[in-house]
Amino acid sequence: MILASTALGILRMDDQGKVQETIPLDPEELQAICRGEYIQKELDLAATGEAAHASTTGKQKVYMLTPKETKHENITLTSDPRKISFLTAALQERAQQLREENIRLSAQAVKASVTFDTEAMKAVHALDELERQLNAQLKRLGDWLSLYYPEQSEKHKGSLILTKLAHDAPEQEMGAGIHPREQKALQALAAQAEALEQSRLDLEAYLAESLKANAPNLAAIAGPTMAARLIALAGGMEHLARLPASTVQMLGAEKALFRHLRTGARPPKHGIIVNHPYIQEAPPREHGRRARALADTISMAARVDFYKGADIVEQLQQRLARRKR
Amino acid sequence: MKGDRMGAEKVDNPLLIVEKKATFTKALVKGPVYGEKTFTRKDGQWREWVPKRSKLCAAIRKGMRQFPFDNDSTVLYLGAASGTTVSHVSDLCPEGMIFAVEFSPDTGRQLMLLAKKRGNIAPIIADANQPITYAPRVWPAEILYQDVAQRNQVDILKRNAQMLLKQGGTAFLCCKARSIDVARNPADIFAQVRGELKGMFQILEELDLRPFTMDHRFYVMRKL
Repeated sequence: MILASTALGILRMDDQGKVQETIPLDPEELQAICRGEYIQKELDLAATGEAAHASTTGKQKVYMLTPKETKHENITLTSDPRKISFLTAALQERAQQLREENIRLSAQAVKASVTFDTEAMKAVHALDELERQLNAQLKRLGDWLSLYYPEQSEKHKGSLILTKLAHDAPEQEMGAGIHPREQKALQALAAQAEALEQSRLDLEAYLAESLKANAPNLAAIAGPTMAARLIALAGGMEHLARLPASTVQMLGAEKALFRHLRTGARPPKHGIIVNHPYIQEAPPREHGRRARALADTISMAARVDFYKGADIVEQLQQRLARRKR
Repeated sequence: MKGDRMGAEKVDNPLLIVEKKATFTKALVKGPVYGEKTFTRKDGQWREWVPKRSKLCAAIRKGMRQFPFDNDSTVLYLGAASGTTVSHVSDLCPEGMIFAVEFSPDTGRQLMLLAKKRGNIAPIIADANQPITYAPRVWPAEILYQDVAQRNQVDILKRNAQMLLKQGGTAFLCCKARSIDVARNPADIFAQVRGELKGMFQILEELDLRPFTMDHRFYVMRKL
């Protein structure tokens, strides 16, 4: 008897490779097989084969495609090319069925892969794009406004205050007079910038809500938006939780880091965590030290959030406070 | 210097056109997959295969002699991504099966859309590091194609070859020096890779894929 455990079930073949029976597997059983374990059905089948083959081999022969680490006394694994060709032929006959099974299993995997961190990553990328658009929009707006209000528009360069200027601003010495027609056009541009800003705020609020619920320690220590950025750079919550703190410290500074590794230039002190108040409030000479402390703490927060789920915000904050000089 | 068309006419396959400047495969399913050019003549539609987007095509342009892709080949393809190269392999093996393994569910989604349209692609969302997790979903292949740019990419190839590639089958490895070690000299890395491949494989060809891709070596091997 030859047994082959496949995604289509356990194929029971005779010694000529003819499939006599396909024993269906439920999803858990297939998963166990994919982990390299033996399931009860396989062992039972192996046991029934014994009588039939006792006379010739003393032990029934069982072939399974997946080599298993734990050997079982009733199961002999084979790499006999003849038997492998039996299995190949049996599966090739059922090629379309196997393909559909693969599509089904992959669809499940794709579905199951969507978790809060995948969503947070999409949101971060959307946020980056919004910020880019907003900056471009404000630049255009300021550029046009400077025809009428050169001083104000220079003063509020790149700021949302420009949008107010489009509605109502004092006339100026250097500025040309503005006519209602132009003002209307400018107000439309300003409205666009305001809408972008609103979307940005909405996205940040979404991230804050999601991260506070799903990664509370990380969100509290890094701040929700930075937490989401770190997750995006690490490639997911699990990845972030498994990264060494020294890598967390460098996330977002890859260019500088690899330049350092390649050419021996000075190593970067920090990646995106540089924007954290804990580093910003410190004098520059303390930045490196603080970046290490913050990265350690963020890393711990991410690990607890991912693997354990306890609330350790207070300990972590104390830890940060202790490591100030 | 003949440049990129050096020896490109060596591959002979009725489903493949290798011209002086361009490569085409006979479309198994009508219509472009990723925005490539197509043309139709009386024997059907042909899709352009761009060497900058596909390392297998780059290898053909660089004069690869081995070309085991037959009408009914079984291919285990690791690192299928969104299926750009896979779609051309699917064109080349209309009666065969391509088991396309991709780790990222994000790119895998697109691969699945492709697989639904083509009866010879079986998509597998799994980690190529652990062939045991998808071994029950495939049958042993005649061709193993490895384009997973990971630090342990040679190890990934060997483990998959051991379990799922037939003896005498062909293995392809797209070896990316930058993924194995950014800081080391690529020539040293490739020398080490050659050493690691010997024993399990006979190296038939080793191609430098410049100017299509930098810091890559393309190995064609036979499993011993």
